[in-house]
Amino acid sequence: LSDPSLTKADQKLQQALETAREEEEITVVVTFGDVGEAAAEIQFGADQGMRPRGRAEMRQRAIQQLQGSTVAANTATINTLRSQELKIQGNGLVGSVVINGTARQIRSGLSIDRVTHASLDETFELVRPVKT
Amino acid sequence: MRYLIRLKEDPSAAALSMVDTTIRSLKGESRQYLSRVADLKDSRSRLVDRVSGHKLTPKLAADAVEMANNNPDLEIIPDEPISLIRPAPVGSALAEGAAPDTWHLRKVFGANARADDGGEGVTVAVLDTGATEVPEIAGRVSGHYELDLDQWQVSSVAGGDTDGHGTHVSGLICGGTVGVAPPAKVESVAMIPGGQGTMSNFILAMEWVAVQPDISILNMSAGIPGYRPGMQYTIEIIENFGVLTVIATRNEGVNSTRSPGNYVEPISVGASTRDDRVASFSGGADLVVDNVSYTVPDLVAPGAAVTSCVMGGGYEAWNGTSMATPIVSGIAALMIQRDPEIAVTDLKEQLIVSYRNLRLPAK
Repeated sequence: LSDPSLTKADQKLQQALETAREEEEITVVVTFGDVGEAAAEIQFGADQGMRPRGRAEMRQRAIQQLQGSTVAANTATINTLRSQELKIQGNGLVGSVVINGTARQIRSGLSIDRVTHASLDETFELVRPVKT
Repeated sequence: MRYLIRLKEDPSAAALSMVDTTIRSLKGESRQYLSRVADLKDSRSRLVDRVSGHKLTPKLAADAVEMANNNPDLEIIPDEPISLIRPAPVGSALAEGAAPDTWHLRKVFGANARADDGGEGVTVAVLDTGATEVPEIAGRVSGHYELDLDQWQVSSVAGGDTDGHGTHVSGLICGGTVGVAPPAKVESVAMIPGGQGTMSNFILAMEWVAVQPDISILNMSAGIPGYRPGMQYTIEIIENFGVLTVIATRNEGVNSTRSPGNYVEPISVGASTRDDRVASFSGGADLVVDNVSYTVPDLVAPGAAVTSCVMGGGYEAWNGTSMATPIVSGIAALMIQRDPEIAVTDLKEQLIVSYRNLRLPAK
């Protein structure tokens, strides 16, 4: 795997791409940004006129301010991935979407500038209680 | 009847090709629900994921059976209910109406009683296995939800728990007897039904939580062993939407953590014992990521032999960082109720500085 864009893939995904046949389908979580780049938490309270009435209103305002811009910032990238015939799940609101496609398509998707990181869609398990 | 089909060890190229053919034949089929065969590894599991599944149409099920029968490298097994390895209760179970041991509440409140309004107006999203509204939490769960990955949506459901874990966890937040913040509400999201999902489940759940204005806290006891950076940016975004994330570390002792609980952003929670020691099973580690060093967990809370409600009614004491995590979420709910406009960054700081320093377990 000599393509530099493959460095965006985590170790498990790199291994999967190394062993996969070109048309084998893989499901991957791709990220559109780096830690520290997200829009800052909305701060309230400095201007009394802006003070929300309770936590839910504060959250609602944060949603109003961040939702549209966060999704919009990622729409072009999602459309580019979609144009490569990758199946996309998610709207980019949380900076990541799930893509499914052949190994060849996944490699191609990784070359998009705004794709900063990609992980194999790994198993996510409960932290099981333990016996003593 | 539902079936699982799996590849035997070292399958032939013909077997892999046959599975591929079947995968392609499934394309376009609507509402296929895919399940994971946990004991398969690497690329083979991905292949089988796409063939094994439930809610197959009768024709597809028949095709799958035929495929397996015609290939010696495949085996087919009935998808029978799996008995989960439930944690052994510590001590005896208590029937409904009995007085449970609430030592964890004494650790939180000392000699003080819980405030009647503690946590009022605060909602915690419990991303777990669901919740059964046993008497301890009846009327305190404001919503039950499940994920539909195929349709990429979160749907309201009647309730119920696929495991019992989520019920125990929810009780420690809002339970009338054992909960830290009984007036707080829980939104129960079955993110990992049966105790297992994938990162996709996590991403869908995060998209949903981000835009629910009632939710102030996200409580989660799940993850991927080791350090996996792929979810860190998402956690950062969720917190910037005003949601505190409180996540269990792991139950395999020192030098064991999971992502996303081992990121810098969330409040990561380990388990303490009744005598104020870090529990031997409590996960944690010193990590260095991008030249930044930090320690996981951020704090510990009661997590050894903690009593809460169970699915069939009554109570059991369980061990786990999963038990400590909702106690911290409950405390955060009390703090938000007192200061509803507190920023997530300030809330995290206050949570951490307000804790006592315990001795670390021996390495």
